[in-house]
Amino acid sequence: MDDPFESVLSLEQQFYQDGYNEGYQKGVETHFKEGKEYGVQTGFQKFVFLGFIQGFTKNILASDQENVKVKENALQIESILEPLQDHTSNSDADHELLESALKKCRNKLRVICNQMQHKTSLSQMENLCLDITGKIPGEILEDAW
Amino acid sequence: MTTAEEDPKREKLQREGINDDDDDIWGDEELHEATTEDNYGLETPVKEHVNTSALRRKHAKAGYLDGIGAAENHGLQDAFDEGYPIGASIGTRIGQIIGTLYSKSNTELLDKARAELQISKVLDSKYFDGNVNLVDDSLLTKWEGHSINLTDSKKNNKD
Repeated sequence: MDDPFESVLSLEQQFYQDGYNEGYQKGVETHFKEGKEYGVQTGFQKFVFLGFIQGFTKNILASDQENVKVKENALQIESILEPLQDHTSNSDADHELLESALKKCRNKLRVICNQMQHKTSLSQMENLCLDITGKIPGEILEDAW
Repeated sequence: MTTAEEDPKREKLQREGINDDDDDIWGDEELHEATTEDNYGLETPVKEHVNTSALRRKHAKAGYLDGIGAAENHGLQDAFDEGYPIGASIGTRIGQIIGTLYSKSNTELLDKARAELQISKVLDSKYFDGNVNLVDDSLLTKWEGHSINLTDSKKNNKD
């Protein structure tokens, strides 16, 4: 025969569980928005410079730039960036791909700047992007959201 | 001997966590509507015995706090990972616009873009829904249009 007092004795556990479920649900809702906003912000900051390089090199290739070496380097940058398509997740593997590609691109950009007689510079490009993204990647900006 | 199964009144009280002796002492006047603080784990307030309310308040509140803590540990990283590619896509588009304008040495338009495409403006909550999905990319398409028009006008001038 079932213990007639079982339901009474398990009340504490039942109340705890009810509260836990409600708290968990509330916590998921609250932290989901907070975490996703932070993820959007960090992804944004990480990829602005990559987009910048894409826009810059695409325009060089489409322009009437006569220096063949400049165009060759621009083509090489395009081929470095191509494998990054669809690798924009926060996984360690995608992070490695991005960092490795950006490092190679920076070197190529330095060469391009030299070949263009220093009409532009890598630090100028990076500062321009930093101006857009904010200076400390990953820091929550008060004005955003 | 009367068992709980045979006594509907006692069965009801057992469900509420009260025995017959309690009933004699406290009576129905001690039943009350649960207050806001009693409501942890309750979808709608119920009328229950003060002792039951106190028990609920104590244990449900502890459960609620533990639940919120567990959700924080579990949910933050998943949510971050979900938002990251969205930000990556927006950031890439902004970078392409700035890179194109920079490459064309159009300083007037570049300065305007720098002012309008700051992170705080691009990630303004008015462009996102309640689940932090981008629902309005008009600012991006406007500037993408500017950079495309620049390319077209340059081509046309050459032709």
